[in-house]
Amino acid sequence: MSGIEVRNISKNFGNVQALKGVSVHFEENRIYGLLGRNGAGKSTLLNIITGRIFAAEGEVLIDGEAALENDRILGKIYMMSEKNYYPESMKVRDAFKWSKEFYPDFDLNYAKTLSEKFELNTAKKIKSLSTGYSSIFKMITALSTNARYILLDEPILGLDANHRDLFYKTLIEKYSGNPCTIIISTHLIEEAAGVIDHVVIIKNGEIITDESRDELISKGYTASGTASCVDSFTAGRNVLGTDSLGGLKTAYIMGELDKNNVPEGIEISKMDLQRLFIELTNA
Amino acid sequence: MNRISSYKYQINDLKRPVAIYYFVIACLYALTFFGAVMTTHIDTGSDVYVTSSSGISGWEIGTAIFLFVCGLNSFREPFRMLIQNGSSRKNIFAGRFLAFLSVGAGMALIDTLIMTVGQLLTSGSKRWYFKGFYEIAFSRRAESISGVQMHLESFFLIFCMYMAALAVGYFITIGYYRMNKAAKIAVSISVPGFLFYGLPILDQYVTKGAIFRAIGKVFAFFFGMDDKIPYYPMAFGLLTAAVFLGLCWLMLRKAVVKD
Repeated sequence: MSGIEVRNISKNFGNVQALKGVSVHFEENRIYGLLGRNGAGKSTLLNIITGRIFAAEGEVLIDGEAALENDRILGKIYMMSEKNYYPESMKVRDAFKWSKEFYPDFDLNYAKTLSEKFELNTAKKIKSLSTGYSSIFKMITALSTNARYILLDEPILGLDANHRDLFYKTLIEKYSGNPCTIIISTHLIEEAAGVIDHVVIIKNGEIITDESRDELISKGYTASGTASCVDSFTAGRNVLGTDSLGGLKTAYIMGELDKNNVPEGIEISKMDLQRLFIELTNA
Repeated sequence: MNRISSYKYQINDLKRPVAIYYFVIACLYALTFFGAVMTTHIDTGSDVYVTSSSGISGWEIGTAIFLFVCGLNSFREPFRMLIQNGSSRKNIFAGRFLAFLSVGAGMALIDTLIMTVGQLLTSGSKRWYFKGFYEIAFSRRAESISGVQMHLESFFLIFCMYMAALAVGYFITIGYYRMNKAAKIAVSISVPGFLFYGLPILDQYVTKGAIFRAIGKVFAFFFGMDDKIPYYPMAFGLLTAAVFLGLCWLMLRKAVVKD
């Protein structure tokens, strides 16, 4: 089976169970959003996939082969971490050259072009980069490797709005020209929602949602109105959460909606991915 | 491919410190030379009288200490960099082993060449001497065998010593990396405490010197002092390197990336 197949992975850190029997399949040539609150287990899952840490139970298969300590498979994945694992005294351009050594498909010209686009000074040492430019450096490296599986853990950390916008555009361009599997773990869901086509939500070390973005969004809707109207409308429905302001109430609901049976006084609107995420992970 | 890349990266990591080391050594030799010229003879007009001799001896011990420090600095940064770039632990270890082998052999060769050239330049001089570790430790044997054999044995002896120094340094650094904070503190206090206080006290008051006498005998045996032959220390150096590198692999294969 192609893609990344995570089978029944569990991981503990002392008494804390970070992942509880997680199973998920990341298919080829799709952009995934791996979403979860702080400490939900997103980075732990990505670190296990890339073999940086070991799972207590379970296994990871990539293109049907066990990924753990498998050099051929590890050469197909590149993970951009929140933390920097490059030597701090190394210059950016040297880091690109070394990346080419480990990832023969690394495109030095593309890395140079992106560096110019993002105004990254490649003569600088990595330790002298700001948080934003450190993210830019890691993101450029990740996109230039031409790896089949690119894992981005908080890729837009410290980036200003202009650079974030440029990042999403670059990501889409890259994906359109050279499709690969990209997994983005981020907190900025509203922004990332435009680029991801599949959503995996992790909560307290368990996968609670694993479906396409459009399907997921189509299942959720918002019902607003007076408190009494909303209460009678939501009776028997799967209500994720509610907000009240004065006599008005808003309910966040999961499930099919028969638009012909919406009572008067109830206003129905679509739920965006961020709201859906908040309600799903709060529930 | 990845094994070669891992080797290339790790040997490159050692290039700069090795170059700096030999630059410092060259400066020290130059200082020794000029210092000696200024202080070791009296010019009486037509004759030069040598008042004392100057030179360099046993500098390979310095190289071994340098390589021990290199071993100590060879883990954390390269491990993170290589894991980041998709290397497996076995390739990281294989690359490191080959890098140690190259550096150990390369520096043993350079040091042997320095000794050979130094001895050629100073041969017959009363003012200068140039002695390697081998000639100090096995002086009688050095006089009884041919120059080629002496240099060959010297090369293998210091190569084994360098490999052991690299392996022990690497072992300590991986050991510390794998330990948690409490274990690091416990080891940092208990090991030197035992070696510098516990053992001498035990030896003096309980065993009445028997421990250090036994240690001395073991060292004399393994360093070839008893029979004045270099093969024991060579074997001891290789064995030390093999044991410590084996332990390094056992610790490395389960090492994880720490933030």
